[in-house]
Amino acid sequence: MPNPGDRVGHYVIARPLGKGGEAAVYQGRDLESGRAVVVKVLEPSQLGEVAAFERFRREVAIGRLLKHPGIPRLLDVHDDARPPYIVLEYMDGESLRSIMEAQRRLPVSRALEIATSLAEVVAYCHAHRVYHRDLKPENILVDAAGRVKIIDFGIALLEDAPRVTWRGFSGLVGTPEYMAPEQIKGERGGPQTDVYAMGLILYEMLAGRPPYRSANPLSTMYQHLNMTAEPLRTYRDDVPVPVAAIVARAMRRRKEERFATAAEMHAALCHPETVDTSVLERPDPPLGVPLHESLTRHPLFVLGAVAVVTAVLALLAEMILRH
Amino acid sequence: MRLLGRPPAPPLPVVAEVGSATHAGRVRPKNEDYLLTEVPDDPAVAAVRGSLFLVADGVGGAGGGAIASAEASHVVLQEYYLDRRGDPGRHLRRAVERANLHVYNLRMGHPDLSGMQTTLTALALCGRRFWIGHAGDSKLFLLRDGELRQLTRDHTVVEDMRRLGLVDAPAAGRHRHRHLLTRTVGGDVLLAVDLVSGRCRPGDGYILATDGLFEHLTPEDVRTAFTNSPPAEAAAACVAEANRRGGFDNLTVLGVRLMG
Repeated sequence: MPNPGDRVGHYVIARPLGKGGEAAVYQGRDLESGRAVVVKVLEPSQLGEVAAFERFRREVAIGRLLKHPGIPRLLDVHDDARPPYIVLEYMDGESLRSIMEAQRRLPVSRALEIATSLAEVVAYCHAHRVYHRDLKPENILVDAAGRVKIIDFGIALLEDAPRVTWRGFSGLVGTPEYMAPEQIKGERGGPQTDVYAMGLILYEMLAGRPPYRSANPLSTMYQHLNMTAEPLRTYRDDVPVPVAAIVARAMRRRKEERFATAAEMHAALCHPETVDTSVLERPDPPLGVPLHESLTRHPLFVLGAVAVVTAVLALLAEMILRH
Repeated sequence: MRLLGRPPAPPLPVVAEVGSATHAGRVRPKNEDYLLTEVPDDPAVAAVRGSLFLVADGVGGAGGGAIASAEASHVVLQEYYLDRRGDPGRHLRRAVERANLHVYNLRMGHPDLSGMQTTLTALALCGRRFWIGHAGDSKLFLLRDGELRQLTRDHTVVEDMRRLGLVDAPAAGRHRHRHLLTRTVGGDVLLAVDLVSGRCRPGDGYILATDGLFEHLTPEDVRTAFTNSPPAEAAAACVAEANRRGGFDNLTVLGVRLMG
């Protein structure tokens, strides 16, 4: 893999930006035009993986298809190089993650501005039948004018997971904090998967923490399927009820109960006064094994019930033995 | 009339037949699976270490997977038979741990092969017992009294999800991420090797297979094949059938049958 200062074609590598299971991403400079670019190089260990190369080629196809100021343009493709690489437009902006780190809870108006801009870019992708499937604050840039840019379509292409290890998990199959229930269940994910992630991101911008989070990825997945997120307005009462309703609808566990597309969510964000707020009152039943939640939520009650049943059985056994 | 005293010990289980088949499948350009069979001729070795059978499924492109599976298999073979003292189970575990370190060091030393790792499932048959050393999602089944039972647990994310109740068994079998491994030989400096042991019975069948086979065949298909045919024929038939149904991945199956 290249190091800073190395030349790749007519590009010079400036610094690494990130590394996933299948590719490494660098900031570079085009020696012909002088402009900053992003160079994405296929991981050499993936060269023999038919599926990985196929995904690489489809990323190229998507890059050629999407032309929007919120999505980096595909500038150059070298799929016959060893290792193959593509060159993308370098986009300026601050990552939503670092914005949220600097200010844990964003003002409602700022959070709504970002969410609306995000929904607009995602709606454009959905209109072209491209679904991102890994939207998260790290993949979202916000420029000085408040416009959102989505920078990683790495798993938008994911048809079948390659044979990789847990270490590469978040880079290849979505990040557990932002995975939709249907992805956890094994589905590929569609427009409602992006809607779910956008709901989680808006929730996090307003609440200052993601609704489901744990040190263990499996436990986070469990929470998506079974736990109920703390209502937004328990964190702050300046969140308007219609905004809380938009978040709640986007985060419904069953995809058919969410906004059908990003365009629908975008319309709701633009006109919150039209939103049906009854979703806040409707239960959202778990999708997994319910006993675990009752154990987690009411452990004393469950353990007490087990103790009572055991005691009754012991008494019965003693009575039977005496007689 | 039976004389007083201990009844005569049943005869030692003897390996009657071994058969295997391996194939790249119809999609992948290369076979990165590996298998090994060792039935020692030397009675002294056979008495203390018995026979060893293993399958390994290499991970990582650019040829690394094939190197990882072959290297790991040979290290296990060498380490298992090198020291003839002590318990075979403990030795098998240590042999797999050494293979892990070996592959880990190899990939650390070769940047182009940095992704290489392998699954490994090894069966040792010694005296009246068997031991299984296992890491990854290759599988070992016991075929006894006409029933097939998986003795290994898949080290995959989806298997962990199934155990947690996040997905049910049928969904786990179809899950898009069913190949994501949580443990491999060469993946990390330390490896927790699963060690399973049990008592052999005459007529037992042991079937080791890499996961590619189960992309197309069910355990019931495998049970039927190995119940009705000798291991070599059954293994060849399983691989041929998996290829006929698509052969999406490398395919390897190894069967061992004890004397009835």
